[in-house]
Amino acid sequence: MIRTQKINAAQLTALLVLSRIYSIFSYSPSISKNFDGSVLLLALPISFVLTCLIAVPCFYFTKNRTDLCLYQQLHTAFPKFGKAFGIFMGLVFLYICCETVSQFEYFMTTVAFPSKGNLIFLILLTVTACYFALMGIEPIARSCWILAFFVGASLVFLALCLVRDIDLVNICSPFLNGVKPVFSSACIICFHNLELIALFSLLPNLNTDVKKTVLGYNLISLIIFEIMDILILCVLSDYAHTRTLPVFTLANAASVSFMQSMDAFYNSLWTFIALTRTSLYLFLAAKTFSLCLGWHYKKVSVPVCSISAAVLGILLAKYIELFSFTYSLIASGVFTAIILLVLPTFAATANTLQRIRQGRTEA
Amino acid sequence: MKKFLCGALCFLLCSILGGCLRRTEIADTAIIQAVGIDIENDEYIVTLQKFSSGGSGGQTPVDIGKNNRTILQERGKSISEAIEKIGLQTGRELFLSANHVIVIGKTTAEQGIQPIISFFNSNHQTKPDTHLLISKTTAADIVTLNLQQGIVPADNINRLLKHNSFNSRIISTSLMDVVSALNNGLTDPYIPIAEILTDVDGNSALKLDGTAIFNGDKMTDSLSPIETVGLIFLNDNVDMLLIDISTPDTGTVSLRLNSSDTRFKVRIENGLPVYTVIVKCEAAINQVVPTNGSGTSISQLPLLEKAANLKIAQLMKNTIQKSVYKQNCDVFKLTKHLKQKQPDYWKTHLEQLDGINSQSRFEFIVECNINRIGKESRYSFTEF
Repeated sequence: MIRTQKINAAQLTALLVLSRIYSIFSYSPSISKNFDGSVLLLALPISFVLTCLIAVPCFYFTKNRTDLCLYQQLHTAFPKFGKAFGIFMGLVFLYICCETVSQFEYFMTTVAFPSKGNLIFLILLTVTACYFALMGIEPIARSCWILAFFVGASLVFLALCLVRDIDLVNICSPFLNGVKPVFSSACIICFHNLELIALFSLLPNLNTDVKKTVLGYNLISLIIFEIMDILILCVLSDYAHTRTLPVFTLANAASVSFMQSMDAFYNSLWTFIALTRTSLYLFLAAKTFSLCLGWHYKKVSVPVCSISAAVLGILLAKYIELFSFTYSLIASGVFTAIILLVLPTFAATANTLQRIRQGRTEA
Repeated sequence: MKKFLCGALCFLLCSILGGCLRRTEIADTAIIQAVGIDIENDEYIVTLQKFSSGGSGGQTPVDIGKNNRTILQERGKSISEAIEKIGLQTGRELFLSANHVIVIGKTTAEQGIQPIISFFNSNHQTKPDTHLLISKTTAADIVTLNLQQGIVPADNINRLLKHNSFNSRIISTSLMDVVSALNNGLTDPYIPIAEILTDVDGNSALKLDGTAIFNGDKMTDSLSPIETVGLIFLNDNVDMLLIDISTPDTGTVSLRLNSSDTRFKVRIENGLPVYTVIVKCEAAINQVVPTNGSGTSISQLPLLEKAANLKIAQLMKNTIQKSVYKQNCDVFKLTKHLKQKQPDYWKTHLEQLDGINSQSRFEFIVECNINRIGKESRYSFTEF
């Protein structure tokens, strides 16, 4: 069993924000859906509202027992399917972990070190994330708090360097192609928010109010996403559509004084963010399997999950079609919808029905 | 014992894991400073200016009295092939990240620049802010030019571009700008033109002389230096500009524009767009050439402002005349302004946009405010 480590609101927010912004750092029009920048300007605030709404069922389902994580509460509600839920959630976390590892490898071998061997990046990242996961959530969250400061300062610096290159003529009406693209983009962004699942799975480790954290990390992520969107849209303009990783190009184009490019800066930030996200989901996968299958957390669960993540990551990185499919499956929102909407709604309904039945029997 | 073993392991790892990836020594790297591309007989001629300490006979590692460069040239069916040949010929890894400028020959640009731009856009070493130039003759002429000033000739080209750009004589075009214009299918790119001059001492010098305008990826025409100033106003790129104003009452006055802001308004009239170009600028008097010994009176400032307004509007009109009406090139992002300000019209006329701009009308509102009279007051302003 693992000792329940507690993390505070600032550490949790930093952890979730870093994990969340990984998606914009790794955003690639060639792999993922090609969003229109002007549409995103409006879709992002809408997705913020939608994210708060989809958290409501899970919040009401878990609010009475904050000492248990989402999986444990589902297990209590449906004892017959408890193990199945656990395995499903563990696999989802492992899947996100593999996606992060392969994204990292894709980035490294595409823009940072092209035509270099890919195994070394995967192994180094997974081994370090494995060590983090063994240490537990508290050290991960503590290091995130420090890292978040550097990430925030770097993003502000990047934005300031690019302000003079902003050309507002690139912004047009988000409704140019109707209302549908705005709402579909908002839904995709909202359901891509896997950190909500992580948040409800970290409930026993929290020393803070869930509602405020949901609002806080989503609001910070929204501000970062909006700034990056404006920069990509107004600085890179149509050039962004020709690049594999637009945010990297942004860092490449930014220059100030003697610093002619900030891509090396971006590389290091990206590496740390990838490490944070991999560690978080590796910890959650290992913890869920440990609770559900009774595996020893440090001796069995973490090593098994780490090896699986590395092996699957290598496979995903090798076949770009498979890699693209992995991303699209996460972007489809199926995991978020099942874990945050379907299961808690059913469980809450079942609990209510059970209470009504008990009431009748007693009567 | 456990701690000692951990420490020993860390020390061992530090010594054996000096680097996980293959590294290239500086001595094995050819640092490319400028690239020239020409096409001849369906073959690409790639000319590279390589940084080479003492390349022109210098004795020290970097001889500031010499041109520290070596010229490499090869032909190939593609740019990649030619560059690979150069790499094999030199026995060094070509390093394009330090490349300052890509020069394209005029005849090559007239045939289309898409394949050239595509090569550099996909090359992971080339930076998005690398400058582009069109050579009036061949690109090789510019890249091989033996410029005497500075340590590296490519640095000179870069400095020339920056200085001319700051003085609003050209718009420095980067790889990113050209890719953007070619990729959106709405706007057209423009690239400064360079030519070689020979001074009285027989030394060669480089001069930026106007701007090449493109329709799609093909160079169709060039704007003169005066027309280029109009282009700079229309693209809202004025940093600092000197313009001479002459009126019968004031004589010739040189104005220094310190700031300028250009905005577009678009309305639809009789089914066609009408673009209103609004330019607001702040100017200072730089020099007054007195007529008949008398200076310009401060009460004549409105007269000067009016003359400046007319001149700036005329500069823009001339540029529009050539690029929009004559060549049907959208080098001012007109279509983007139309998309932003009249989205419904833009959407319904998406198919005909190419021909619409040449039928559209332009109006100009220029407000030049002269708010400084310079340091000299005795001759310039008799009322002082």
